[in-house]
Amino acid sequence: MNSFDTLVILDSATFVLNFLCIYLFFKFHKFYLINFVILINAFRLFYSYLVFDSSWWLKHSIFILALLLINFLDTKKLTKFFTSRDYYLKILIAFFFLVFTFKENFMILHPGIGGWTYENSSNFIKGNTYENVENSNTNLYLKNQIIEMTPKVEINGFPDGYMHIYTLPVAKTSIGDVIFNYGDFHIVFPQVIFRRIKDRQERLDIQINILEKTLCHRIDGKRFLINRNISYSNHTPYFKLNSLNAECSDNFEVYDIQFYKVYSNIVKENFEVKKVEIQE
Amino acid sequence: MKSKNKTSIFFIIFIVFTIFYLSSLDESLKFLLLDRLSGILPELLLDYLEKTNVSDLLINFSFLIMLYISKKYWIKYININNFIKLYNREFVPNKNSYDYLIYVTYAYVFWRMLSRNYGVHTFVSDYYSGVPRLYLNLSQINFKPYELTSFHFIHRVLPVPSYDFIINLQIFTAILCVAGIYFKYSKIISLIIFINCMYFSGFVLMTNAELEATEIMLFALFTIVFTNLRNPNQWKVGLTGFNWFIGFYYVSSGLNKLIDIGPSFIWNLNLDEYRYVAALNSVALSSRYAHPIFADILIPPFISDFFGLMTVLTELGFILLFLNNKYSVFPLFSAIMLHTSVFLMAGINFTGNSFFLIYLIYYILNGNKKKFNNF
Repeated sequence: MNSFDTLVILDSATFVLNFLCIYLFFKFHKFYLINFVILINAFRLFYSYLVFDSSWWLKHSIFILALLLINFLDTKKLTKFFTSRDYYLKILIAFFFLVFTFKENFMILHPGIGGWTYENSSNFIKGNTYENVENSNTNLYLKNQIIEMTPKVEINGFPDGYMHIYTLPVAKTSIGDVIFNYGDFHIVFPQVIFRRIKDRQERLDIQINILEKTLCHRIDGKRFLINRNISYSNHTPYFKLNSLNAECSDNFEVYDIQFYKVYSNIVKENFEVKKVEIQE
Repeated sequence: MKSKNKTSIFFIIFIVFTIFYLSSLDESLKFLLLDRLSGILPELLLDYLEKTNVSDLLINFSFLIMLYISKKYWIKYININNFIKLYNREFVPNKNSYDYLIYVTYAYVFWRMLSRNYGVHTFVSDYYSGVPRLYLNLSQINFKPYELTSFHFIHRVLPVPSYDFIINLQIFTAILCVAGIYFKYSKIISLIIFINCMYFSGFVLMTNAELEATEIMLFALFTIVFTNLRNPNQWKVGLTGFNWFIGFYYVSSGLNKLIDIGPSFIWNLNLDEYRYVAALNSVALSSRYAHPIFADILIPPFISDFFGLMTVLTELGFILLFLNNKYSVFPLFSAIMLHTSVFLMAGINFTGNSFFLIYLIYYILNGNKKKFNNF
């Protein structure tokens, strides 16, 4: 049995033990049961650290262990406060405690959103090649559409000559070429799930199937069933692409997806789209 | 608990923290210390300490020593009696509060059902639970609790329904929300809406993401179902639970920031740097959303630090919500600002939570008129 298999067993056993200890605490009101839950959950996280070798687990393990500081408070009063609540509120407190110390997502309740920072996120500017892109009229129709949808051209803070390249997907459809982005898939992290689909054709088929259902809504200026301007955005919203003046009927079909590379330069605080070329 | 035991516990925790923070000293000093400690510390711990390269947590180490030295003072003040003083004993929820929660929740669910397309998940159902998401799925148990709570366990036996079925179920749920506003204490309507919403959100968790900012909405629906099933006249217990839930949701997030990053979250948030990403996102058609204003403005580092501090204070400030404290309106208001800023800058949408945060401002301010006048 490898360490991961041991972890699966340990996690499952700890999960059951959590419920058991909390049940016993409900019954006997002994505070050492709470200490026991803290200890086993801290140990579980520490073992996860040993398996995954990520300090992230260690930090949480230590913090959970630090919850033993609760013993500095008057535990009798805490227990009395707990036992004097309505039964529903007692279950709720126990559930908060379980979720936060065991660290599992129950959907209706999870152990809290994690912390991250944007440190070094502007390092990409240093690595830029500052290449002056030649203006090109290849794929002019697409280029004009991109320019039309770009909300403004002034952009501050970038050194002169900064070159920006991004990939833009275009759907080949029964009503012509339609620019889209990952927001049209209506999935929270589409790139995460699409990366998992190793077979290129299978991935393309899934993307086409989704776009055939969703793209018409956006073309008609809607997000799903209501007007886009009064709708509630996705959890991970993308650039707001324009709606199109096109008839999008039930026979709407997507034949293929083509990726283009969009080259731009920032010169004197102006963002200028220079070239659009097919990505091989 | 005996004071001897308390001191022992404190020492254990202190030593663990010390070892942990030693790992983040400057490299040269760290290697020198580790060299001296080789043979004393376990191999595994030495390996970890050698690999880690955080360098500026000496301050935290000093902070811990300071805490220890001053323990008799802070233990005196940080105790349950002082905490209880913050509790607003006179708080009595307004009798309209429960009805307003129903209106707010059903209106929000209605809006969401018409805006979000859950049907697309039918196309990626082959990848159920196939996407590891670290941050909120932290145990390795084979049967994920959210598979049970979202009722998606049935798809271990039955296939995922078709796109059209899911869409029709969404429309049906939206219609039920309208009916629910009229028949507000209906057990069956509230139960169906709750189950459907859990099921829809389950698609997101089962396929690719750890959350989609539905937790508060789902808990509001749970509160309504629970209260309607139990006895609508006992709405106070349900609302207290809802209040506590929001408190837990934000306080745990605030604590996670301090655990994952540490107090340096405040000055390492670096919105001043992320502004450049947001500026380019605002002009690139395939990027995550960012408001065009970020192409214009530059964010000075101290403004970023201010927002870092406010984020932590706001989230931890939700502890006041457990106590029905009138000052909890500050974190509530601040969280609305926080969600709006995050949406505009980083393209992460939690703004729907604002529905419930505004509701809670009402709940707190109108719960006790006497207190409100003093405030």
